[in-house]
Amino acid sequence: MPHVLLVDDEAALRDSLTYSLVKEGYQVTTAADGLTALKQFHKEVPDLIILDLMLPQIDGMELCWRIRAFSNIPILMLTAKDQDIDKVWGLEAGADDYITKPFNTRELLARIKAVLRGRAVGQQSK
Amino acid sequence: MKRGLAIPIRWNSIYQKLLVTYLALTALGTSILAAYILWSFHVYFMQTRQVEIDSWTTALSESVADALEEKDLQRVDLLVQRYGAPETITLRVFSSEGRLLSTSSPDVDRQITNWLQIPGVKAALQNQPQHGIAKGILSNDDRLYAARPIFRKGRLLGVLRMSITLEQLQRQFRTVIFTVLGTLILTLLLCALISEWLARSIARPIQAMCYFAIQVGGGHLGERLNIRQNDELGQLATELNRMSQRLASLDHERRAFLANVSHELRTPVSNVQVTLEALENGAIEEPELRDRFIQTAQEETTRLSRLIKDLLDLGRLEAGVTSLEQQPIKLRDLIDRSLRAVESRMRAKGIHISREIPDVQLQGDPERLLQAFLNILDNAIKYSVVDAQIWVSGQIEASQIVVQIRDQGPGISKSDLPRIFEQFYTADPSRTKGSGTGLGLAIARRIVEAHGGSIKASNSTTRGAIFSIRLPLKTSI
Repeated sequence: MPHVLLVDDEAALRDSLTYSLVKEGYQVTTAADGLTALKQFHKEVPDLIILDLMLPQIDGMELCWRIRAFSNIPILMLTAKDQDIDKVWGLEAGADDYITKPFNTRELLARIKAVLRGRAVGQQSK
Repeated sequence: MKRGLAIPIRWNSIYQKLLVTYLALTALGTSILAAYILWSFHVYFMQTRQVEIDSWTTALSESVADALEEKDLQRVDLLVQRYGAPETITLRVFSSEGRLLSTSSPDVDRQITNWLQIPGVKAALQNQPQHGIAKGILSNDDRLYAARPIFRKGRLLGVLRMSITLEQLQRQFRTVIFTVLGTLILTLLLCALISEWLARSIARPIQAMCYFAIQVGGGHLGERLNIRQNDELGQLATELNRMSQRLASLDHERRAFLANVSHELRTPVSNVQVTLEALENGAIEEPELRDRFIQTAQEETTRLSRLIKDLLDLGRLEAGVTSLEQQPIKLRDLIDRSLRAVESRMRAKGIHISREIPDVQLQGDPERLLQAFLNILDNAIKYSVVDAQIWVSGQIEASQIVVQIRDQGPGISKSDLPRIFEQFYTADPSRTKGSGTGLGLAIARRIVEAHGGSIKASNSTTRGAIFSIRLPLKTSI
């Protein structure tokens, strides 16, 4: 059962997206801000992170940099920032995918699968 | 900004106009000056010669008179020969009847029959000395002459006529004319060079500013003109730069605002979509989840519609579309209405309110002003802790009323103070805490400013933030 860490300051989104993820067979941990996310990460390293960009305390972009400093874990950015430059920065910061809100839950689930599959193939070929 | 600095040839351009004007003025001025100098030289030389020849004839006529008195024609001849010179100075002595007695140029004079036609002779025979300029006898050169009657003891003895050629003088004068004309042309050339430089130095910055205006007008905001001059053109360039910077910053604000609006609208829409999709994915089967998700969807929809309402309000206030009602308002009633509207929220948080408003009248739109006060009260309640106090007080200052709303919250940090009335600016980076849209204070400021007032945020010396709303009082008519 793959473990997903969902970081978003919108309680409504955390609540309902968690339901859909669990239903799809993922184990889900949530965090409402960057600092909590970092603590959660150290407590139990997830298989994938879904990361919002505008977060209290530690901004999503910075969190991505920090995690990339020591980990290669798949990161999926999920944010309402839709400008091209944000997407470029997000991917440059080390995100594996960048999804803009509003989004379709099915598409998000498909992308999570795709990213995890990519990682699995990468690890096999090593 | 290098392109377009070359000045195109256009006959009505400033450069051409300046150049033509400068050249015409200098040409006119120097020509008049040169003409005056030549004319006055000429007059001066002529007068000098005339005076000379007058004094010579006066002196000679005395000697000739002596000789004539003694009827010594030989001495007269001697005098005439001594003082006359071939071609240049001609001397003639006539008898009182007009007969030629002696001449310094007998070869020419032999051909003359009627001496009375020679200028000055006739007048001198009638006792009138005369002088002037005349053509030479039988020659074409200009000559200066003086004819003088010779008197002795009241009796006319004869006439002395002297003439000198002006050829030499004219030759000299021609040299002077050429010198002056040469200087004139040289001066004009120099003036043309200086005028060209001057015209260019004025036309170039104007041209640059013209090009700059086209650039800014075409949307290249934030460009800078590099014209450093201490005159009006320099000042104009500075103002154009300021305008360009202002436009650039407004454009930047507009873009940032649009990006913010986009973000703020996307978030609740996304929340509704995810929640509905969770219901679709099966949450609808579980009563507890279903109720919670439906409530979430409703809350997010409310949030979205409140945001849209605030955006429209702000847009209308900024565009000046909303016409404000103008009616007398009792400030105390207005404040009481706003306090009643937030009463339940304050009671829920255990917040106490203290109100001290003087009984004054304002002029304006009561609904709009109510909205402004509510937005500020909302903000105060949002940052108040449980069991805190909020003070609402009013003070008359000259023709204005200053309403202060003070809370016991954490206050506003120095870096946030100048930006607190900006759209979507909140001290909280995630923006989602509380119920605000991030537009409340911006709307409050627009409303107060539309009423001719101002709004200011500061920190209390003890604890908490103070919002001071300054509004003009209704003038009693």
